[in-house]
Amino acid sequence: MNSPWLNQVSAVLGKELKTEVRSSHGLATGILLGILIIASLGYSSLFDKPSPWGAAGMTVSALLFASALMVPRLFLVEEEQGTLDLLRLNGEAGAIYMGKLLAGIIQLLVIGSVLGLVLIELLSQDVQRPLFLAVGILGHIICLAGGFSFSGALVMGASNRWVLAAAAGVPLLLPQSIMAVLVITYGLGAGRPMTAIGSAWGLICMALVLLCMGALVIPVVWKLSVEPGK
Amino acid sequence: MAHALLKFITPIKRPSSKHIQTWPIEVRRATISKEPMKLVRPIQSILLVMMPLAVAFTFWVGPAKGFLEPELARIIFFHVPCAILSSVWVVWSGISGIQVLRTRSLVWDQRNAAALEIGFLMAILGMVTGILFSRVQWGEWWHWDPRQTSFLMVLLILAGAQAVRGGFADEQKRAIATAGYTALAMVPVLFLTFVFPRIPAIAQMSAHPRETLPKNQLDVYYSIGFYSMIVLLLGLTISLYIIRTRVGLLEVALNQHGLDKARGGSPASHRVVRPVDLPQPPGPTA
Repeated sequence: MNSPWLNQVSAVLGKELKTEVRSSHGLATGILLGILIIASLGYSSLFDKPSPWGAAGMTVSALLFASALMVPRLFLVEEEQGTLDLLRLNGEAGAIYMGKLLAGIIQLLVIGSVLGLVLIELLSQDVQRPLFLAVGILGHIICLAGGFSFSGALVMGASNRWVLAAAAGVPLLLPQSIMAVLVITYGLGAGRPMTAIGSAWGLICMALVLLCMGALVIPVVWKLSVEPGK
Repeated sequence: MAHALLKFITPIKRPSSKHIQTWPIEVRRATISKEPMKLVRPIQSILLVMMPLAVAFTFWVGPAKGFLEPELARIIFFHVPCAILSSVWVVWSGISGIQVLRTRSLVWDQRNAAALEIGFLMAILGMVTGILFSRVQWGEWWHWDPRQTSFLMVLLILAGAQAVRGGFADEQKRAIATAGYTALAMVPVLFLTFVFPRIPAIAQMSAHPRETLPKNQLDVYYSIGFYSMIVLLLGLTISLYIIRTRVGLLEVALNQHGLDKARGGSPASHRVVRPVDLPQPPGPTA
């Protein structure tokens, strides 16, 4: 695969999507887990209709914990099977990382769409500003994919790496989770406009930072892990 | 007595200079050099004298005005310096992490680890004193104050860094993974520490005093006590940092290269099995 960087990214992305279409384990599990989290939080409030703040918080939390299991899987399963080294022989580390990250974004988009419907129908929320709702969920998804891709790629080779990927990734994503809640809440008709607009910009900036820094740092980390003495 | 007992059980001799020559040069310089310790001893001497005086001074100054419990506002002499120093050491940890990724240096890795641990310790102390302050002044152990909440997130990020560091048995992978995490974590940490609390909508919601330090609203006695504690705690953390870095490098050197025996044995790794000299029994030999 001696081709330009974008071709490599699209090749890895295609591989991940084909794998997911064949087995669908990750996607199905992620959707199920997201719905279960929202349902359990809803049951714990004794079927009372949550406020827009509560509903936004439930959705953001469900996406956070579902992605903590789904996104690192893209790296850790590949590493456990031993095929990541084969992949790295054929492509650049940065391209492989970006391809898997994009695959994570696409999977989280599917889960986010389902949870968005759950938010509206199951939690009986009225969408007053669909643009803010969409920006909030989309920005949150991109940040989650960036953050958990980074933590998943970083902890390969560690003991207890599945839990460690979540434990390392969740703290990095708490600030943007709050921003996502503020934006989604405004989309559901509560909150202040300036706070929501500021949070939306913060979410976009955080997404860009996580994408770019992950793409810069992880290839260096992988290279150093393989060639420690050089 | 414990030291004597330990020497009896494990008669390990100090590595010979010939053996030390086999260590990587950067490790050798960092552990053998007496330069860092020349800084530690004067700092420790000053701390021994000044810290008790500074602590006594904080209890001598009068109660603070504008607080619900003026006597107990003295906690700011400890709370604010711990929070400030936590930020300083966390930023240094990020810089050290970037240096590890650039140079692959074991020395920078140990500096990163030391800075991370000290920053984490300071953050815990800042959080605990902040919780006490919140209970006394605001009536609740946890007030969901924006600055309190953002500092908790910083503490969780540092805990995540410690978890990453503890997850690897291999020293090189541990160094690289920690460096990568601290390098990326600098972005949310700097945002949460310096930007988030100053956003106007957030600052209005916060009960933390915002203008006391920037507008120098402390009186002369409180200023003396406050800035003295910052300087003294900085000195304490610097001495801890230097000692921790040296101990970490010695551990790395011992793990990788071991100790040779007292009788000038070969500088091979302690993992290699070598013949042991047994004393000859008295009497005629066959």
